[in-house]
Amino acid sequence: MSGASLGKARLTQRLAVWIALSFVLIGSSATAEKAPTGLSAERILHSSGASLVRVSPTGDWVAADLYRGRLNGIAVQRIGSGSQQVVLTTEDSVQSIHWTGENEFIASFSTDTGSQWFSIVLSAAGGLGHSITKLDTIGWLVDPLPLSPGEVVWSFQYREWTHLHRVSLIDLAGFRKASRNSRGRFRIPGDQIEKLRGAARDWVVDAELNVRAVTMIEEELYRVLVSSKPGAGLRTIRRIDYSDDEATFRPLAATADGTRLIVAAYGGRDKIGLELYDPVSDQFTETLFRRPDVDITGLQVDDLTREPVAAIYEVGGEVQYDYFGGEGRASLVALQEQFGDQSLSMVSRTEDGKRFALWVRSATNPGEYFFRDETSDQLMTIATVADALDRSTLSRVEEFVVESKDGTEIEAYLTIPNHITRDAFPLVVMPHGGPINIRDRRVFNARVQYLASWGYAVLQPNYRGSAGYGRDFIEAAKKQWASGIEDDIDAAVEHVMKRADIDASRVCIIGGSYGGFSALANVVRHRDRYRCAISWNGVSDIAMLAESSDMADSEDAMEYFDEFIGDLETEREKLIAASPAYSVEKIETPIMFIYGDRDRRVDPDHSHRMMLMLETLDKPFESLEIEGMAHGYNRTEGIIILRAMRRYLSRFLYADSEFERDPEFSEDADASQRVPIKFDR
Amino acid sequence: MRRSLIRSRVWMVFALVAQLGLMSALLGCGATRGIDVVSRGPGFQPSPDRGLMIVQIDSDIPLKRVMIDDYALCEGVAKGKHFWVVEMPAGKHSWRGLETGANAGVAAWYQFKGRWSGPHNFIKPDEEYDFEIVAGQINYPGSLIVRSDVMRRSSVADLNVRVRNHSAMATRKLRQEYPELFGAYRIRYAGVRGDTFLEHWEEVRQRGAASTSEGSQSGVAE
Repeated sequence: MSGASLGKARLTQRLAVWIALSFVLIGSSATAEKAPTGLSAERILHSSGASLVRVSPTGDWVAADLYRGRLNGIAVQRIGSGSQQVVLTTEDSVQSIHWTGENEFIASFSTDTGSQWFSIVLSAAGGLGHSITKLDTIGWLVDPLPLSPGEVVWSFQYREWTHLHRVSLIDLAGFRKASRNSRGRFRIPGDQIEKLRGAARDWVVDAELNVRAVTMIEEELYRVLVSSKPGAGLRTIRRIDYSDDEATFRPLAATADGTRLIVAAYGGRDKIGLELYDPVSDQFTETLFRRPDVDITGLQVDDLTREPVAAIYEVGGEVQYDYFGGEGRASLVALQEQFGDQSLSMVSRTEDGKRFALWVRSATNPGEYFFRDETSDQLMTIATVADALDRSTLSRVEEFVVESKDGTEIEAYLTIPNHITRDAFPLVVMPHGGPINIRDRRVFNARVQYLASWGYAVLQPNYRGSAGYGRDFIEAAKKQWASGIEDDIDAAVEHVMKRADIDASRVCIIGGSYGGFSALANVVRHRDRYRCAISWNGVSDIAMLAESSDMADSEDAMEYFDEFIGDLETEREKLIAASPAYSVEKIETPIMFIYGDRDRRVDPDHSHRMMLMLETLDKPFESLEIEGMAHGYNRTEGIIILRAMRRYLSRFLYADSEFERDPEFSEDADASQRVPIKFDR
Repeated sequence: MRRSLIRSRVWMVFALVAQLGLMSALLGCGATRGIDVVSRGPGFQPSPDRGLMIVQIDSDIPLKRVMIDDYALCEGVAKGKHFWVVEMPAGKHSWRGLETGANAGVAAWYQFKGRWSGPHNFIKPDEEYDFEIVAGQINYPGSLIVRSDVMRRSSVADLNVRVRNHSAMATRKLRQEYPELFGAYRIRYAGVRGDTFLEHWEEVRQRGAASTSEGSQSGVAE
């Protein structure tokens, strides 16, 4: 299907306008607006820029997701040509871009009904012509096979089977029509690599396309299958109950010699590390990488060779990549030193290993992409994430560690507005959701930076149960709702309230999901610490989570609930005592409730329960119901929430000042000032 | 001439559709035997062996009929959110099934409990569809949530029908829409799951009423 036959005139029209805009604007310079008081919610959430920048295997092209307001576009530019084109636009968010050959790539969009894939083939002659094909298929990409043009490895889920096939993009495009044979029977196109009964996820395929490991999802367990050597059949080696942390066993890649697997596992210790696993003896034989202080959260694998490149982890909230030995490592280490405390990762590289795209980010930098050419020793900026944001308006995030009531050490982050002169700032305490295995990081956070730009200091405690700090830290959070977790938050708040630059008399607490529960639990705990609280999609009745939510529909989730939150059969009274909806009589703090009427995780009745009780007790509250919003929020809902939160906070924390609305923000005018990708040389 | 004839026929069809729409809007809850809809406003006289039931339905498709036990609780329910109070025989009951409108884009019959004689799609039976009506009280059995926009999980059923516990939402709505009933009867959760929130709320409400009453008495005494 060509670009013109996308079937959406509106889309094509936008595409034309965008292409014209892109060409006109090449060479114009970027301008940044100075926000005198604070940033607009649109600017920080709805800004324009580029992400998912990927260099082609030969280093001739760069592809990226350009976004302007609600619209996303896939853009390509021939390196050195200075001209770019937007090949596809959508209001859906772009999930991934993968080069599948010298002049071709595939891209996926997240839609209401799942992922939608497109294949884009660029003009081999070197011009800017292209063709777009919608991949009318089911399943997902396992390997883009960038060195085998026109082919990919694809996982198809059909009825009770999962099929792994090496398939041409042409067959994939016509999948729905071509997948039935002459007798009307279903046929998966391409060459079968593997076929397994059940739902598979996380295939580990080596460079020769042998399946080395796969995880199957069963009723209450994940089943891990491995092969002992390339080409050997798969056998089950683990059945994992994922509520049991001890059992963590996540195959990530095969070693270059094919004899072992790299697995994320505790390996009998407190922190998750990268272990080398011998599938023949069913033993860990060696530790590839681990740290004594933090979990290893991921492994970067080379797109072209499938070899492991770097271990990923967070220290002090900053994402770090530790590159293994091999070509280019010295250069990456040197570059990392050059970028200081910013997080640097290689996102794609050329076949010769001499050129690569780098992604650099930090708490005050939403992201920048660089192109590194080893042969000419050049490093150039090629794209900027959220480029409408003036980085000088963003505030630095400090990290500190504090001891909780029972001696547990808690890491927390404090953002102090750095562009406003004031003796002491009002404080917004913002506990994260979860509470288990979720965390805050010291990376760019739009919500935090928006509030900081308007003169609020923001505290984000990584209370017990937060991800990345090891098994004991997770275990410490079991059945600690409204108790140990809130002790940790108290410790961080009390630590910060002693600072001279914090006004301890002006503090509010806000949060979503578990953070919303925590906001409510804390105003039950402290009658006069907080001037206000905001709970969005927040839990108020713990028992209700187990009786009326999507968690209640899953036996697996309920096992987790019993173990980590509490057993309704035997501990109902305790759970009720910990639930803010049953302790409203103790609350003296004004509260705002923000909730979506389509939230299936934390039902809107959690907010209604609080509101009914507050009404009955004649206590103050405000509410904002967002129609159609589920547990998460999209960009538009995010803007509504940010604005409503700031308006409410200002009534209590800047009560003497007149409320100032967000500055006007015109995304079109804003976008017209910049070129999202600059790649001239 | 021909154009005006076509136009008049178009109008006739339009009028017919509008009439059918009006008829279906006039239908509603409690249209069949055993169930009586309670009118908004004063003057309700309760029957001794019957209880009041809050009916809250949120559907993103029109519903031809919603069944409780063997009879239709509601008929001609338009897409959207609905709230009624009906009077029902005391005792155990079940949401049994629903019939979608002709153009809903999904299969016609959905069964939660028991057996249907006709063609149907089967939705996972669960205790959440059971409830008990107590005479002389306002009973909230949960809200019926009907969603057709969920991801298609299988070729059998593509409609998600759940009974969700929105007891606080329903209680707040009752106060808005039926203020005369709100103060006059105890409100209870009628589902089979052991939710105690409404009991707690009733206790707090009664305590508040008692303290207000004591306060006003002491005020008089002073």
